[in-house]
Amino acid sequence: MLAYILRRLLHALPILIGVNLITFALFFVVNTPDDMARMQLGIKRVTPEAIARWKAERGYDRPLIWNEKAEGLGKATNTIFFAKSVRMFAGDFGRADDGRDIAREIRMRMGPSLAIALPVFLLGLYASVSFALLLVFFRGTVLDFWGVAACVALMSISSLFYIIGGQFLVSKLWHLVPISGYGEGLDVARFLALPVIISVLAGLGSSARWYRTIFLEEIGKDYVRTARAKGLSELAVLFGHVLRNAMIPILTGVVVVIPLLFMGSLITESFFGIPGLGSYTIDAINAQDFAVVKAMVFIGSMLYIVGLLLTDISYTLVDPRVRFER
Amino acid sequence: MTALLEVSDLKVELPGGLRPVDGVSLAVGAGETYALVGESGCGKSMTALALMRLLPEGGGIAGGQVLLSGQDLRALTEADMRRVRGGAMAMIFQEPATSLNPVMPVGRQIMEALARHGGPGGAAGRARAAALLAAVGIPDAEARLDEFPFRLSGGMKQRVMIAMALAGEPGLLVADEPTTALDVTIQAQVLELLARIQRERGMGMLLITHDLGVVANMASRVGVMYAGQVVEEGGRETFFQAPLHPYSRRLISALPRPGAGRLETIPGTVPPLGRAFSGCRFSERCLEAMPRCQTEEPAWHGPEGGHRVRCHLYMSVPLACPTSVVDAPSPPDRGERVGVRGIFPSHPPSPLPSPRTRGEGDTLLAVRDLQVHFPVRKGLLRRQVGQVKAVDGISLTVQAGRTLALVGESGCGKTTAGKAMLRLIEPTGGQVLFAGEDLAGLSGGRMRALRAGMQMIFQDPYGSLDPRMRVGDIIAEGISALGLEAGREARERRVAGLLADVGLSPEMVGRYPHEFSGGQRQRIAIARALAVQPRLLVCDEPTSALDVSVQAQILNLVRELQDRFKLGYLFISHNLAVVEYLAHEVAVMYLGRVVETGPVRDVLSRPRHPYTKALLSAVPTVEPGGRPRIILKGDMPSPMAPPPGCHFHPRCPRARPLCAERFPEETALGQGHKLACHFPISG
Amino acid sequence: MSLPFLPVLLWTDALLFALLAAAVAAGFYVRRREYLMLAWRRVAGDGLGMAAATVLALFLVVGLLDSLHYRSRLEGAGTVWSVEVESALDALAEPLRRQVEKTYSAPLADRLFSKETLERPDGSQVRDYPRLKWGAAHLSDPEAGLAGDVARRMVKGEAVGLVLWLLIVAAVTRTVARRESISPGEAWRRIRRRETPWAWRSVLLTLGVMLFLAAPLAALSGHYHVFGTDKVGQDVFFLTLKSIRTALVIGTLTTLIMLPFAAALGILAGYLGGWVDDVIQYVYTTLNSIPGVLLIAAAVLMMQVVIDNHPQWFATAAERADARLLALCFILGITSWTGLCRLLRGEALKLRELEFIQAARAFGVSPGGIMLRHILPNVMHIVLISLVMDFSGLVLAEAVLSYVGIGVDPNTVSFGTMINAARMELAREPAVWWSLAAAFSFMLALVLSANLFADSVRDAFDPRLRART
Repeated sequence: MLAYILRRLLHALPILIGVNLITFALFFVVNTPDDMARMQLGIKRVTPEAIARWKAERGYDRPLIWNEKAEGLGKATNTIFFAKSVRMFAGDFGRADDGRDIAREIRMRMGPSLAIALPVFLLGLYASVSFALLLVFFRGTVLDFWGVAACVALMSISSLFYIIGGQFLVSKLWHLVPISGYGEGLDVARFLALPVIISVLAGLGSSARWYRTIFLEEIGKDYVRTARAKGLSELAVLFGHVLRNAMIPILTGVVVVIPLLFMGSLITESFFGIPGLGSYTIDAINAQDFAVVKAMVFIGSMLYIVGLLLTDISYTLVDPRVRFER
Repeated sequence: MTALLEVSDLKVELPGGLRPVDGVSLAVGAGETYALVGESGCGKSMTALALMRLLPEGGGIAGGQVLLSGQDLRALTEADMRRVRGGAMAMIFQEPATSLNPVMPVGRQIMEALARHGGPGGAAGRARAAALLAAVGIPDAEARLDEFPFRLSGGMKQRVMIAMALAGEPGLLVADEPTTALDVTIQAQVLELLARIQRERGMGMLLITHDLGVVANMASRVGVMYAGQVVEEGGRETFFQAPLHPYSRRLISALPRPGAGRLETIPGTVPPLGRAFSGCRFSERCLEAMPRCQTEEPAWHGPEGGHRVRCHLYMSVPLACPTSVVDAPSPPDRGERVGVRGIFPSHPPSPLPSPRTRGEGDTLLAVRDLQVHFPVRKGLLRRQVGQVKAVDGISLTVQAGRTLALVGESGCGKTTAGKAMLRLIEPTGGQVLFAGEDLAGLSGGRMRALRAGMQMIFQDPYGSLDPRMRVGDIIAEGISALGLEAGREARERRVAGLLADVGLSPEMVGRYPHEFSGGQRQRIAIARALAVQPRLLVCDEPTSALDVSVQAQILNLVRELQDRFKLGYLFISHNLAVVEYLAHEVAVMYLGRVVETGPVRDVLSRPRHPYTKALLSAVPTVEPGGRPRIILKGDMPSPMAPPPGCHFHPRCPRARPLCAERFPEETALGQGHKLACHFPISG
Repeated sequence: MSLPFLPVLLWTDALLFALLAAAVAAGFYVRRREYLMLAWRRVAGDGLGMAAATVLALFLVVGLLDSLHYRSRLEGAGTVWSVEVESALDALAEPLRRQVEKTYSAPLADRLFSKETLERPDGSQVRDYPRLKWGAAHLSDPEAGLAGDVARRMVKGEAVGLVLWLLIVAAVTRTVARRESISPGEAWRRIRRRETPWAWRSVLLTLGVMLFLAAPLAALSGHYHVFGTDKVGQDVFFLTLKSIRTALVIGTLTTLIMLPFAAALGILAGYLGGWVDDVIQYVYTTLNSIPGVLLIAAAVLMMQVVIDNHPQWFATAAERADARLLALCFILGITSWTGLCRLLRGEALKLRELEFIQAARAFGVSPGGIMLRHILPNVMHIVLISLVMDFSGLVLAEAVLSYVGIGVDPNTVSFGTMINAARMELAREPAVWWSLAAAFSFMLALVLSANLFADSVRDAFDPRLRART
């Protein structure tokens, strides 16, 4: 098992390097630091001096990948590639345009992001699996038909409308919870209730429908017929046999996103004014703060790779075939 | 007489107006095995599922009555029916590989059935489950309880299925093709187990099968199904002595037998299930059909419970009333062979096809020490830790105009060997000489030129034709790929000729594969292979997915084509009856090696290797005076870790210490009969 | 050169029409292939799917009209063309485009939404809701006449709509009658009872409903702002119509752009295996490991820099916006091809082992030939299914991305920019709801019908699903 995890980690390394190279290419090769400076400072009133100052402030005044002028190791390290890309492996993301340390900012904002993303994830999973099971139990009936119709309708509505509509109804018309903001201690629940409920509802349609398809696929299999031939009730078949087997495909899609929960949700956080990583990213995008976006891309992919690893490990927990193969 | 199960006029309807079961009546007594036999698509399995009320969604019982120990199953509520399922009536299915829950230990699956039907729970339940596993012949049962299904072989899984079915102590066991997915030696084990259990527990058994050999070995009564109805019914002995219905008779005579000439076939196919019928359902394929057969549905002729038939031919023929088999003792012991006489003509079998001239006997393909090894990688860096020796040094020759059969059970490497000879898989070692030229390391161009000389016919008629191409394009593919026929018109002419050669109408070129039946598809596949005028055909189980009557058509065609074109065949098969009928030479494979080879008549009538002998004896046949049955122990070991010494020794009844030490050298016995065994059976 | 306008072919126009041409060509291709006809006939027979297709077709017409671009000749000057690129839709809806108010006005209103200081004819000043420049401007006394005028126009519109619908019904009935060689009466009976092979009843019913909804809109829109006006006084109905093209472009071109890559790489990886497979798998795992939104954000930011630094590339603002739209399609494509690629790789892996592929290899057919002749046709249904399934997701994604600020050019009208502009309107007192409501209902209609149509196509083409039902 340990060897297996090690091997997966070894597999992950080239992927991380690849991500690093892609971000480097995207941020420093597609556009040179000069281009970025010109864009940031405004194309009209830009002078070579302003560009040089802008670059010096951010450490972009070095060569891209090879520094001829530097001494010894400095030839490789005193470059944009090393300072801005390779150093990310060490957790050094540099500073944002407002001068704050990005790594510190990320650590501070993880909490609020998780406070909303985790309940959404758990409640959402619970709600959509239960709804899917309900539909499957009543498959072929009117309930199933209208349930699926409701799923399709739910997934046809843009998530923006859920949020705007929810804020309008719940906060503005009914004054149940504050429209947006974030608090301390127990007060947090007041702020989180609406975004959590809205996010769960927004995701319900597509995931419930997807789980229903998976369940139906399992129900068509031979072992289910065997279970019925034993005289088991439909509920026993569903919970004792189908659910466990359906967990395998469900896990593929679900476990991989768990680490990404740290990243928060862009839209929800920005609409509800939650000081998490999602709104941090959005603000950075709107301010065109390349350093922050680059850091988030890197962290996101790292978390994704952790997610892949967790997925593999979770397989070994649910699927004995995988467990014994190693 | 009160039967355990009484079905009368059962009708099943599926969505789309299909009627797979349309008026089936039958009765199964306690301690009796009723075999329901017929070709695919005639409604056997649907009958079984209808009895359990487990029909696929949207389907249902449309009429009739099902009485189990006098209780009307159709009148039961779903909750009551669940008590019957797995309780009074249990069922086992065709595919043991998929019929067990893959993520649940087998012990829990059995205990679940125990708990559902009033058995003990907890530790006592575990003990009962272990006892059941032991009863179905699983060694070390206690430890096996915690195994997951994927760790068990196919035969073991089917034993677990049987154990699970026995958990509720059923009075009736419905077995739907229980051994079809298994190898013959494993089939022999499972059939023996079923017979023993039935004898011990006095169970009734409804055995559903397409294999007349299995019927002849297992059944006390036989019902023949055709197009949703039972058309003939009788005791096993009377049935095999004198089958009455033209369908039954032709089905039996379509079975390949050694030395037989052209096999009997049944024209056409089983009619689609949605159709309305006016007369006898078999009439359009029946050679004895009379005008009234088209208009009037035949009634039963013959006594109820005796041998009776639904056919107008017997209108005025009084059928004798044989002793009712329902009260007869349970079927005979497996150890002795039941001889069934009467149906085969008494004249001596015709000799093998007459010796040929012209080109015959030229060596087409010579294989020397062919090896195909697949690497097994493991560990941190995916290092190669071993290899699967799928084919481990086999040598054979195929001659023009003659057939070499490569025989063995699944996993023995026969298909891999066949593909390696055509370089569809790259061989690891050894030589393959085609017409004297070594194929290994041939350049692309030269290899392509040689490809015209050797072609392959595949097992699965559904997977072997590209569903997106027209039949004409499928057949022409080889011609254009190898650049054989320049003009488009010439190519079209050739395709039309090929279709005619394989017995299809040349007008079919524009159609797509899905419009054809399995047998027709196999004909198209043969035409495709013939299109490039090969001299050697590798046939990989070309008939194993087909019904008996269709198999007979294809075998006839294969033989005919050999005569016409002096083709050399490498015929890969697990079906010894087909091999005996078709082949001149045979090579028996076990775990990647050939253990015995020689002329068919020698090897199959006087096998010297214990494996060959066991294999032969395990084949259930309908013929009289069969061989005494040898039941092999255990399963074929994994080719990843073959046993040391002779691969066969752990299962061999004649094994001695030497066998575990080294692999026996090949010894020649004369007349091309060769053998690899330390202690061969004396001729 | 006597044309009164200069045709402009934007990149997205060209691709959209190329797509249309490809669809027509595919239609001819399908007609000759029975197995494909079979599947499409199943789609045609599916009532819900055909109803959805009807709605989609109407959206498509609007989108295509909006894709015929031109620059009109400036008055007086000989060959000087306006810098403004217009479309056929703009020309058709000319009054809608030009009748710009000062700021917000409610649907069918005659006055602005907010009070302003007005000067009376007598010179005194008063704070009141000023009359609209265009909306209900033909009425001298809106307080008394507005409701009546609206009702009159609606009835008139509905009457025209009904006549139009009856004409269509008659035409369809005639076609069915001629096709099946039956009397028109019999054809009508069959259509009513849903006994025709094509689900004509759903098509006609849907058309009826659409006409019922659209007729009054058309009748009123000349003299009123039926969906009101937005902050800068633009007609919301017109904006909604303009959004349709953006949604269609994003939904179709994105998949279309990534399709060749996904298909080629997926099939190559699956069929060839070995190091090719390793490399392709590495590439898509790496791309996949970057969270989609962030990759898009990064790429869009970079693209913006490129566009901003090269203003000389674009002759008009429309071309610039179009370049950005197309670039967005590319970026979305690059981030979304991995799913299809993986799917096709798996399928090719399965097909590789099938016996008809082995048979082709036994004939010495080259790997390229096998992939082209055997594998590609056998995975086309997956490609098609993913094409239709992705559409709705992309339309939804556009809205979110534009909201985040990494979507289409702010000058391009899209559902996303509409929502983005309208996001604070609900917070006003009293709330301005019409922009959102219009965007919501049109978007829902588009996405819902796309989803339903996709389901219908998937059910018809996925052999696995068919086996189950």
